[in-house]
Amino acid sequence: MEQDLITLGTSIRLASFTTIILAIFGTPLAWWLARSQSWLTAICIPLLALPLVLPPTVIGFYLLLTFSPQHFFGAAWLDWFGSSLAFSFEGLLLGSLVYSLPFYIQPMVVAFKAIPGTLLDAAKTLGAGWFDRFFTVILPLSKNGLLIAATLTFTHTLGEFGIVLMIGGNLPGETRVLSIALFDYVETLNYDKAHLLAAGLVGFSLFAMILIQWLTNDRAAEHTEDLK
Amino acid sequence: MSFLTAVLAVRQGTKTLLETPFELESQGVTALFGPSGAGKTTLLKALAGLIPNQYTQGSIIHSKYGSWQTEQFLLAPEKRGIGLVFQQQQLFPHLTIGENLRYAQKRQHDGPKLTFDEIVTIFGLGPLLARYPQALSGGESQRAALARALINAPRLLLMDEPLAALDWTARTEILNALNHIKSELQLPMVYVSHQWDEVIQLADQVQMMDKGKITRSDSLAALTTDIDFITQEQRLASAILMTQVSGHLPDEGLTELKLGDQTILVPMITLNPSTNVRLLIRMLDVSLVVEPVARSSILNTLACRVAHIKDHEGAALILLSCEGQFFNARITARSKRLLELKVGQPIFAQIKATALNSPGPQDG
Repeated sequence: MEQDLITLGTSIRLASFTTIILAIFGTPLAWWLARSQSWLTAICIPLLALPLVLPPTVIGFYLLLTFSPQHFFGAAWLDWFGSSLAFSFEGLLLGSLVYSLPFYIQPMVVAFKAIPGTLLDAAKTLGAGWFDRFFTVILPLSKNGLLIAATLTFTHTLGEFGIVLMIGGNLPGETRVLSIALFDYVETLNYDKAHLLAAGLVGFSLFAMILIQWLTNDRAAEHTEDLK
Repeated sequence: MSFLTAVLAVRQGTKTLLETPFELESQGVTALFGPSGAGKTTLLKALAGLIPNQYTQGSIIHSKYGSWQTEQFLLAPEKRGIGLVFQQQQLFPHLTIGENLRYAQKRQHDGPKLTFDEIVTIFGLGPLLARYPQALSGGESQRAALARALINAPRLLLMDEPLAALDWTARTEILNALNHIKSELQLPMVYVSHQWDEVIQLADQVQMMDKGKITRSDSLAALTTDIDFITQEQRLASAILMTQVSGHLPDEGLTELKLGDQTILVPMITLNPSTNVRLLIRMLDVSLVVEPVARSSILNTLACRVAHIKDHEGAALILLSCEGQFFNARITARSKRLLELKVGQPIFAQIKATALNSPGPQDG
């Protein structure tokens, strides 16, 4: 049981870091993808969507190669931090960022594209500079998209299996996450424990979806209640 | 004195949307008048700085605040101190009307301003402050959008057909409010419209636009006495007469207005003598008589001359000249025959006149 709690802790830590980092860096990226008229977006949009369609093991395989000290990136990391990326929490986090990126980016791009340009023009002429507009107009109007993006990212990271298996291994307290632990229990025919984890994940995911439903509906109702 | 001098070009690919010099007076309302696609909105956006660098060329120089645009430089819209109101979808949907107004108040520019409460009163927004924009009618939304732009204390107010989607009542309300603002604030305004009857109710200067160019720039007073100009289609339905308050008849609830040597009575307006007042005359509210009728429910009879006669959809349009100004009467072909009207003939016009809420400077 204590082992399971540690595993749960690793999973939650991984999912939280992934979500927070993507929120910080993915949000401006999504804005650029949604609004820029540069030809670069035509390349970046399909490229960033790749993790949606590629088998996770393929991503995991290439990441594993990249992380290895024989490779430039892996070597540089080893030089800087003195430890290898492969089979470490940091490596797992980097993998999750790549794998979950589209789950964060896509809802945000949709949300950003839905903001009428007239509202941004209005904010500009009212004297709001870029950061001001971003925090007072753009973010509040993309609240639902942000909520969905964050939830999808979090739950997907919790459920990720293929990549973890390839680059993370199964080190308790470091890289062992719920989905791997579940696999282990099934392999060793420990169905009671497997049930506990599986049902727990089902329960959590359901809770997350209901929360989204409730929060997004609530906002809509607040805006239209005057009509009734 | 012009306070904004610009030479602007806007091109998208090989298409030229705008290529014109432009000057703006330091006070009063300048109407940009012209058909759809003439480049009016493009000019307004270029003035506001909302056209991206790669599409726009030229310069905008403000007599007080320096360059807004040069060949090398484009001042960001948020630094120009401009108020902008367009047709629709401009109130922030996540904020109530009150919060929308406060948003503008927090980010005030340094232009002339009224207090929050004054503006809320002028635009009748009191009952709407707690509502969200989605729950407002078209007219209410535009009132709120104008109020928000004004609370922001802009140095210049730009309006892009703000009344286009509204019905007659809502338009009248807003035009009255704008006339009120005009008399309260020394704020230069640009009003884009393709509706001549809106232009005459508000503008002091008119700049005509066509095919991306300013084709004519004149005072409203000059245009409304230009027969060639006002006898064109779509400028006939209503006209204005520039008058002055000469006195009040409080017992009868009336105000006397002077038009040359003649007097017009309108329902009491609270303005001092010799204040300028714009009278709106709709052609359907004018009837013609050969000699003054002694007893009539119509208060006002003006001595005029027939200046021009035009057949119009089975009826006749009679352009009347009165003390150097013009307005139209629309009469049936039969009436025209019975009255035996000829150009130059003296005639009497009975009018129902509406004084526009508030006066503006007559000659800019």
